[in-house]
Amino acid sequence: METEKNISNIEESLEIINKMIFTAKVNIKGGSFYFLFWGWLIILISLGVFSLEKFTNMMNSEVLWSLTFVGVIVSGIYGYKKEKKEKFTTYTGNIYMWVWLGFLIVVAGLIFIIIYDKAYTLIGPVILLLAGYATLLSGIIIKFKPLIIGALFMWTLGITAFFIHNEYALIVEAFAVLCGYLIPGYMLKNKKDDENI
Amino acid sequence: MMKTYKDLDPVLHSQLRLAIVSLLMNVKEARFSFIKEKTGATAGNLSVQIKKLKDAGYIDVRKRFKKNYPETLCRITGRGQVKFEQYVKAIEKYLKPGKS
Repeated sequence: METEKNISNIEESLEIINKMIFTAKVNIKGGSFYFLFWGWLIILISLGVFSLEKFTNMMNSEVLWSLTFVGVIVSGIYGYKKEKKEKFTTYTGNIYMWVWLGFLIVVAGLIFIIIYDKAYTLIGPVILLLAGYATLLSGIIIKFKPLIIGALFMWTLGITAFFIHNEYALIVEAFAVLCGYLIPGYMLKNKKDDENI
Repeated sequence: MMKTYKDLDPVLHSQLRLAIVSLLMNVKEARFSFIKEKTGATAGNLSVQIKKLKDAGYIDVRKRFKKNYPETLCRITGRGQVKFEQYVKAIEKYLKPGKS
């Protein structure tokens, strides 16, 4: 476009607006990393703790859950690097980010309260219910139904896990993460670029 | 004979400035390089038009350093959004002259 070139007619104005206004689209596939990373991490930890409790005499097998702190650091570094590379940022991306940061803050607070109160069996179900809520919002924000359906599974299985008072609750939790994170995560990863919003 | 559009905002009634503002309407913030790529403008011309939009209060411009190189980021202001909406309404009037 040449310097200070005025618009000759209204149709030209409309053409410029139409061409430019929807140029910047949110790459919704980019969010699949977090669902896949956290999906695999939680499933492996759940099955790891289950195996240790079921097949060994190891005490404090729950210590494996501390790996989630590593997960938070990895996610933070990935998000920071990705943001630096982005050519543009969108309000949709911003809301999406705050949904999950808010989730992280609430979960940290709840874990502290639950551990303080020694109500350890609540941790899994409560996190699943909250993760389901954040997953539902993500699905609505990026208009992606598998995440919304996944959220419903997380809620249902979160309640189910609450009523199972033994190590099998971990299997239910792993299954919830498979339905809520991994399956929608892979579907999101394989989505076509022209379906970006 | 070329028609004149006196009531259209002169800041926006220019090809490149309208393109920049239209692009920024749908994003939170965009890099200079992205705007340059999408508008097809030269860096010099784009800088001049961005400065004009900034001086008019339509966009905010911030600079940051990335790997020791300066980088310019632009975002639309509340005033810019209002002016853009007014501009769109004004051109709608030209397209549908019967409606107020």
